Formats: sequence, structure tokens, C-alpha cells
Amino acid sequence: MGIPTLPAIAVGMVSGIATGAFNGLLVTRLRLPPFIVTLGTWNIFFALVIFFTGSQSIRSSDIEINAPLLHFWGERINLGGFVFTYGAFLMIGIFVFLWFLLNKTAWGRHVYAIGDDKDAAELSGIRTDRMLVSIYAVAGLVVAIGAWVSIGRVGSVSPTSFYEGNLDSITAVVIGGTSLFGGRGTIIGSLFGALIVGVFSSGLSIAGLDVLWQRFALGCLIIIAVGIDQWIRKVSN
Amino acid sequence: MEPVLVAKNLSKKYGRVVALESANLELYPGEVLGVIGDNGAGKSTLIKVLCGAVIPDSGEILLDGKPVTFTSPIEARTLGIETVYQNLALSPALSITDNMFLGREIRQKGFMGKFLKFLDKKAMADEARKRLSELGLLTIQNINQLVETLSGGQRQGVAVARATSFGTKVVIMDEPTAALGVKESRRVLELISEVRARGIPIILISHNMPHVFEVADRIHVHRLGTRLCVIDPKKYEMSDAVAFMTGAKEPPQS
Repeated sequence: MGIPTLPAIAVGMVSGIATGAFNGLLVTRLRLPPFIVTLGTWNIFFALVIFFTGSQSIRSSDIEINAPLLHFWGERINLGGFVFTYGAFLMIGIFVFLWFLLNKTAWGRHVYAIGDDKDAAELSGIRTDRMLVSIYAVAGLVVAIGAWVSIGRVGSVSPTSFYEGNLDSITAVVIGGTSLFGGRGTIIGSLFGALIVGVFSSGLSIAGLDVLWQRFALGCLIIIAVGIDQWIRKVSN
Repeated sequence: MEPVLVAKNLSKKYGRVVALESANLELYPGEVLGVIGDNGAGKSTLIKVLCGAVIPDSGEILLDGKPVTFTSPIEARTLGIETVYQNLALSPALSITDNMFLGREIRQKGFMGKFLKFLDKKAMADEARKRLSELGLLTIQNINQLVETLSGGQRQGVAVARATSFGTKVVIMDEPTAALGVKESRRVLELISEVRARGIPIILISHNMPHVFEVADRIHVHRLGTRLCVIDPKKYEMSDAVAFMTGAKEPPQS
């Protein structure tokens, strides 16, 4: 659209925050179940993306010439024989930042309190609605950063790529021990969950397994992981 | 002696149902005021009005002689009216310290706290430990234990410690012994006496007559949306109180 790269990235980040906050507002103002809100906006935002892009992809070579900054996180660096993308360091940085946020700040404690028992949190003096909107906004920002990183990883940009990325992230955090009922979960668990899912699926790809059976295996992994988690919880109680 | 908290002519209707009809209540410094009433007598509406969860249609609330209005429990709390809810309003997955300071955390001093918003976990843990030991609750070993690992009575203790820790003027306790066993109830009753000993007046709502008669200095009997009478537990029997509550007996003229 002719916007210089840096402002364009900023617009991307702000749209991430805005769409996240929009989800949060729907959840808190209209008192709709979060699952339904995000399912609805998932489709709405996807349709908008198709509309704005005219369903066209942008080739990697065009990006390289016009906006190389978009590929920044995909740049590689060789450290002692191991090749890392800058994106890997960014990921670690985000994990560290979110760990501090969740464990060392009041905001983080309030995230847990709301997930645990929203009514109790409200009675404890937490403004739960404002908190929820901010949590959704942070999630939106993380997604926007993820999108930027993925441009570097993939090279080209397609409006349909990572369409089901949210399902993969749910898989990762659930395997990482985050409770779908709220209030429990750690950032380190999510990191390992993401690593397990990542290593598992690339391992299966490298082993040459059909994509069909990769999906099948991932489905089994989710059920087994959650099953073990429930079992451990039952035994430890 | 001037009352700490006064409710005057509070009324609240839900459609055509009258929950409160010119209800009055006075709470004096250092006392435990028991509030009893049959189901549907409007006592929980009265309490919800006092703790800010329900906004009355009309009437007035005075705190330390000054009229106050609040539209949420948070506002009531800011003014010094703390409530220990029946469900305790604790977050089980958080530690004792986190729970006690939920919504009013202490930040670190200087740059770390002001700009990075780091919490001063040590200050909070020390303060929490101090509050719990003041209430004789330091059988709890580790202040950073998760609340879900505590027994019902200990949780009640944490909720009470939280309610009495922040410049509180009045504590409202809603059915504090309802979910507890005999031994734990006993501990909570002792806790109520300890809070009173520290000079904080308590409004105690309970269905449990023996408990109310044991710790209350005065008993407010609520019936048909208003105060029927206030009785002295030393001068009346429990059976009298039940008779007043249900209308089987005429209340004493005061």
C-alpha cells in the first residue's frame, strides 16, 4: 500500500493490540463466552484479511527488495556450528519478559486471580473487566509479533498462512500444563509445550510421515498430555 | 458513645418484592453485632447494601457520623468497610501473601517498582506473617503456601486477616462458620473475639444460633424487611430469638 516499512510494522502491532482488545471488549461488555467471541472474530478478521489483501500473496523476492526489515527475524546467525534465526532470540526475550510480567508484577498476579475465580478477584478489588481487556490486548500484540517473525521464517506472505496457528498455540499451552479452566499454568510450561509440539511435528516431517498422520499423532499427543496432567493432579491430591 | 456505622431507613424493592423496608442498623465501636433472621427476611439484602454489593432505593448510611455512598464493594472497602464473604473470595491457586495483598500490592521502592512495577514480595510476606501472627494464626508454616493447600478454617483465617489489615473500620462477616466443622468453627469464633479485642467492630450474619449467642454483644433480629428488635444475648434465650424471628412471640418494647 506504499507505507514505509517501519510505520507498516507499527500499524501491524497496533492492529494486533486493537483486535485483541476488541475481543476483550466483546467478552467483558456483552458478557459473551470467550470461546464464542474468539470463534466469531477469528472468522471476521480472517474475512477482513482476505478482503484487504485481495487474497493475493506477496513474493519473498519482492519483500527482500522493498521491505527487507520484514525478514529481519528470519536472518540466521551461526553460533559454534549451530544456526539460529534472530526470531529464536526474540522468542526467548518474550518468554523472559512475560515471565517477569506474570510473576513479578501485580498485573501478573491479577491474571492468575481472574483465571482462578473471577468473582473472587472482583471482590478482592481487582477491576476484572479492565484487566481482561488488557490481557486480550497483550495476546493480540504477541500474535502480531508472531506474524512478523513468520514473514521472516516463511519468506513470502500469504493471507491464508497460519490460519490455524491459534489451534497450535492452544495445543502447546495445554501440553505445557496450562489449565483450560483457568488460574493454573506457567510460562516455562508453555515454552516446553511449544517445544514439544514443534519438535514433535518437525520430527515427524523429517521422518517423512504423511501430513495426514502427523495431524493424527498431534491429536493423540494432546489427549495423552492432558490425560497425564489430570492423572498427576488426581494422584497429588 | 457514637455508633461507627449507622443505616437509616434503607429500602430496596426487587420488582414488587420488598426486600428492605425502612431498615435501621447501628454498630457501636468494639462490639460484635449479630444479625439473625429467617430466610427471606431481607438480612442478606441489608448486608449487601452495607458492603456495597446492592444499591438501596432510598435511605442513608453513615460511617463515623458522615454520610457515605458507594456503588461497589471496592468503594465500600476503600472507605474502611471490609467484608468476609461466605465463599471467602480467595484465589486458591495463589499464595497466602498474594491473596492478602490482592488488589493492593506493595511495589518495590525506586526505579524497579515505579517504572518496572516490580512487587516487593519480601515486604508483603513480612506483613502477611505479622498479620497472621497477630490473629494467632501462625500455625500456618509457610506464608507462600498456596491457599488451596489450607484447611477451611485456615482459609477463613486468611480472609479475616486480609479484612482486618488495611485500616479497617468495620468488618462484615457473612456466615463464617457455615462450611466448617466443629473444631474449625471454634477457631473462627476465637478469631472473631480477637478481632474485637483489637477494637474493630464486627457485623456477624449467621444462621447458627449458638455461635451468634456465644460471641455477639447485641443481636439484631430482622423480620419482614426491617429491624424487629435488638436483644441482649445475656437476657434472652435462643428459643426467644427464634420466636421473635418467626413471629411466634411479640418482641420486647425498646
